Amino acid sequence: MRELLIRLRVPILLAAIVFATGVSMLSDRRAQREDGERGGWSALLLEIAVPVQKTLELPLSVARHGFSRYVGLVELHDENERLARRIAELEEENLQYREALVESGHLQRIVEMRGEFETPMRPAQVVGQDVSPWFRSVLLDRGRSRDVRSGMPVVTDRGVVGLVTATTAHAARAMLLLDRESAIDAVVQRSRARGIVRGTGTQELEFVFVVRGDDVREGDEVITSGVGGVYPKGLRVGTVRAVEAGEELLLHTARVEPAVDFGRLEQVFVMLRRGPTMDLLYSGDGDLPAVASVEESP
Amino acid sequence: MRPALGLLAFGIAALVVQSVAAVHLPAALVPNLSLLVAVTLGLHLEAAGGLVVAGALGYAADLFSGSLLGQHALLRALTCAGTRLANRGLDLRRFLPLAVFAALLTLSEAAAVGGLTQLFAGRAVFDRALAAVLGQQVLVNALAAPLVCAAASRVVRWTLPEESTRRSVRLAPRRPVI
Repeated sequence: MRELLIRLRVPILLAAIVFATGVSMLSDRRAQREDGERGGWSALLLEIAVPVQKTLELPLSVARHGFSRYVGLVELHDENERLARRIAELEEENLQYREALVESGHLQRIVEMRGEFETPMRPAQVVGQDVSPWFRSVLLDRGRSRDVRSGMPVVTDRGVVGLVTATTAHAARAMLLLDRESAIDAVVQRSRARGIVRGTGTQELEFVFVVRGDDVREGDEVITSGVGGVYPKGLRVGTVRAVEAGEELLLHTARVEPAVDFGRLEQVFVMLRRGPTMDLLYSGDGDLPAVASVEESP
Repeated sequence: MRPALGLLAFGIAALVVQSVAAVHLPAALVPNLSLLVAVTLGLHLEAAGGLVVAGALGYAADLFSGSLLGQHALLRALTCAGTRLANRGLDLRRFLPLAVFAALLTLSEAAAVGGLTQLFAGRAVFDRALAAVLGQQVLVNALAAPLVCAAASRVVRWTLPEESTRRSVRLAPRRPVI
């Protein structure tokens, strides 16, 4: 019996691996639906990998920035003078606006509105990309210890990046807008034509919309609609590059160039808010801390 | 045991390098190093050890990817087993057979990823746009496979005890002199 087991150890081991990985995939699918937080060995490995990746990323980043800075120096002088003139103009303009607002008493109201609506954001560095070319996600160097939770939107100053899908204490994985599983309810800023922006797995997005006359044109800006409760309203998603007539009579598709350059993604911001849909989807990791305490933490 | 641990460390280092390289290069131009390391596991380690290390390496790859946890672990273990089988008929230590094998493996893995994602997550991974990415990946992996294999051979040589690296000399039995 023992000899038989020794002789069959490789097929038995292979069968065990197939079984274990099958169970793992099923349970991971369930965990993704319930709560994206990683624990145990997987969390430990990510915790170790993030600082290593940050260290490895540093010389590459320095080299790339160094080169672009050198190239930039060529036109720096002219640009500098132009910008200095522009700043002077804008400062003067700004002063006039401030004066007008203070006079009419609107400034106080704007300050109150900012306090009411502004979402605290946590800056995070992209330390790694997905190792599989078939999925689109990034690894961030901020995790639960900095109040980052699954279901929080990730943005840059250019627009929407994606959504946090898994977290450990000091790292988080965010699914990019480009991933095929990603979908956002969006509107065309000009015509308010509504549709769904989907990831295609490539550098382009797909905007599926209901045809109502000539609602969507090349060059239109697409922004989040706020419907769906995941992303706040008004964030830039991308620009329409081409409109294609679909096979279905009511639905057309437009190719959208993302507002964010995903090839050069380095610094992002995690919005420390979860929409109502995400709060319902992800359960069990407690309430977010108050805005004040979030802003106080380093 | 030492070569297995050495190759596991090599594989994890390759994963980290691949993940960082993907930040700076187009995804299609970054070789799938974890897949290629799994091939070297099939060539350099004994069957059971190779499967365990390949599974562990795949599990690590799952953490760096948006895939389901266990998806790469399964595929790396199957890659390792498949490499051992293929190495019986082909000499995968030579450049051309290894490059062709890596190319075929890239195609097979893409199909398997698509199938598993469809099965477990109910979503399609591939379409026409990704076919171009797949073509580039096939080429890049085929070219990178011999380099990764050579690097892995070095790791194995470093980790082996000195006695086992010495070549054994086979002495022909003395023929009777008539």
